[in-house]
Amino acid sequence: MPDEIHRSELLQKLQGRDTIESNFSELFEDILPNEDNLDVDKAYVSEYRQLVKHLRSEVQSRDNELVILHERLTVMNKNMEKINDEIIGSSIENNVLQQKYDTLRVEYDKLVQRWLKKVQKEADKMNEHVAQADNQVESKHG
Amino acid sequence: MSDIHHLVWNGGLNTQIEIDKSLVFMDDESKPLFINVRLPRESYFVLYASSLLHKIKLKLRKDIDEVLPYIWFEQDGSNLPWNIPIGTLHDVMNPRISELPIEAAASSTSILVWKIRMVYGQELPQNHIPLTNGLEQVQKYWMHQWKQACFVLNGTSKQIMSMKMDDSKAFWQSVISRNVDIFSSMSDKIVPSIPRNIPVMVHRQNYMDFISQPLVIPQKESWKTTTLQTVLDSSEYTTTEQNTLAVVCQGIDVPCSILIEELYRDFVSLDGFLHLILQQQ
Amino acid sequence: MITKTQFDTQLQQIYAERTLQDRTDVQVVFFQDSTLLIHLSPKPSIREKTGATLLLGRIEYSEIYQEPSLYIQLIEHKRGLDGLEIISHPSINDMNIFLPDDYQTLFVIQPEVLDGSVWWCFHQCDTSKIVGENSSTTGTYLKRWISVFLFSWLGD
Repeated sequence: MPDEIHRSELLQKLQGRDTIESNFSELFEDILPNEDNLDVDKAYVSEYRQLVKHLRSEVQSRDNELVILHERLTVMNKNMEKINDEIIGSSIENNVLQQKYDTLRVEYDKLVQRWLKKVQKEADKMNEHVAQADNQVESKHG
Repeated sequence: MSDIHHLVWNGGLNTQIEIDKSLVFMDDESKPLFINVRLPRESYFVLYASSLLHKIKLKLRKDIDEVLPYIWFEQDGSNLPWNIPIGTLHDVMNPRISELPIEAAASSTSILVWKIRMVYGQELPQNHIPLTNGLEQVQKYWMHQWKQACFVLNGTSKQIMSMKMDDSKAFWQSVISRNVDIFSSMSDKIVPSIPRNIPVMVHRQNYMDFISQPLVIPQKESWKTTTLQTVLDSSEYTTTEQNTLAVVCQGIDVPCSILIEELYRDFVSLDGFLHLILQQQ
Repeated sequence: MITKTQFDTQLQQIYAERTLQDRTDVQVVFFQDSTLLIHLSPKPSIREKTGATLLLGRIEYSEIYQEPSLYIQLIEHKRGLDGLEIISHPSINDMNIFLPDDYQTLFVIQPEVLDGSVWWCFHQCDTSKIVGENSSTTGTYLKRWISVFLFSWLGD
């Protein structure tokens, strides 16, 4: 058995809905599905169609070009970034190596100095011995 | 054919559609292009896409056929999936009438306009079913919905599978041409006088991304006594929020004490389902 | 036809047995609530026709039909111009190519939206014909269902 109380309440609500949802509906065009030929003057229209066709294909090819160029640009920018990063990396490496080299150079110079001194000392010692030996030989034969 | 069902079938919405700028040539780039149309609640957006594009045909950058598979509709940036009835989409995304200030809504100078956008893009939204076969695909989908509804109502898809080819065509055609008499005579062949279960789809307000699958109502008692409240109680949608939820159907608040079978027969949508929207009180 | 409880039990069993995970064409298996999600390497013919590099299979219980339901999503991984990975969802007009010829009329493959994205649902009109049904085999119903629906038709 249909519920009369509910039905009249629903009916009222739906009617209220329609009042609100239909207010000023004359400002809104009616529309049917699947409409595909709203043209009236056929002769005029075929020319229009041609023009539009041309324009559209032009626009399409321009749009296509733009897309390709844009992509290229993006890739190039990325490559640039990569290269910049590499340069920075190399720079840093270079600095580090330079520092290392400087340190090593100082050390090396020091080592060379020490070695020279050592060699000199040894040479002096040897000269001393040779001088002493000469003196001894001289005094014997003297 | 009840008067209620007539009102449901004939419901319409004032809709302002803003057209995606990338679709058209504009003389003044700063002004948006609008089409103001009256859309029926009981239909699918996709059925009107081509007609809308025809209205602005001379401004279009591309051919309509090229554009159609990449079109969808949005409100406030959210996709409005084409496979849900228009009225339901509106009710999900907008406050119900009873929420509007009474004086404003009922006044003769107030206007209710649904503002949406027609969007064009190569990357379709995640929850948009791609349309590769045009209207034929829409018809298949609609038929698929009815098959499910039929199975729920009858326990078998026989009623719809054994429909004559002519009847089947007429059924779909009645949706396109909005002929409520033919539609009803066809749906009467599917909806039994004693349904096994009621096909219901529940939506949450503003939550277009996760539309619930059809709700299966566990049948505890006869449909002659099962109310909407019982259905909500037994579902996952109402836990602590139960007392603060309002149920909207076809744009109006529906009392929870109403029998679910009654509600179905009067408020069923074009796809054989009863679409309910849960909104916060 | 199986009940939800039977479905849940059998699904859990199948996941625990690890026979799915051990298959060479299965990459990952996820199991949560009453859903089984399988990442599958697609059959070469599917790969060719759609470009898909990955096939997602999702098995859920259909309350309406009281049957397991299979949902499919195709994924294609590729590298873009800038070297970044792109993930796309190829779709084709005629999803029926997935099915062997004699089964094509028994099925309806329909797109549906689950969890916010589009999945292809394989709707069986007469599953028992394909999987077989009698009381002695109900316990393995789901296993047979999966092996026919997912692996013999779609997997590598």
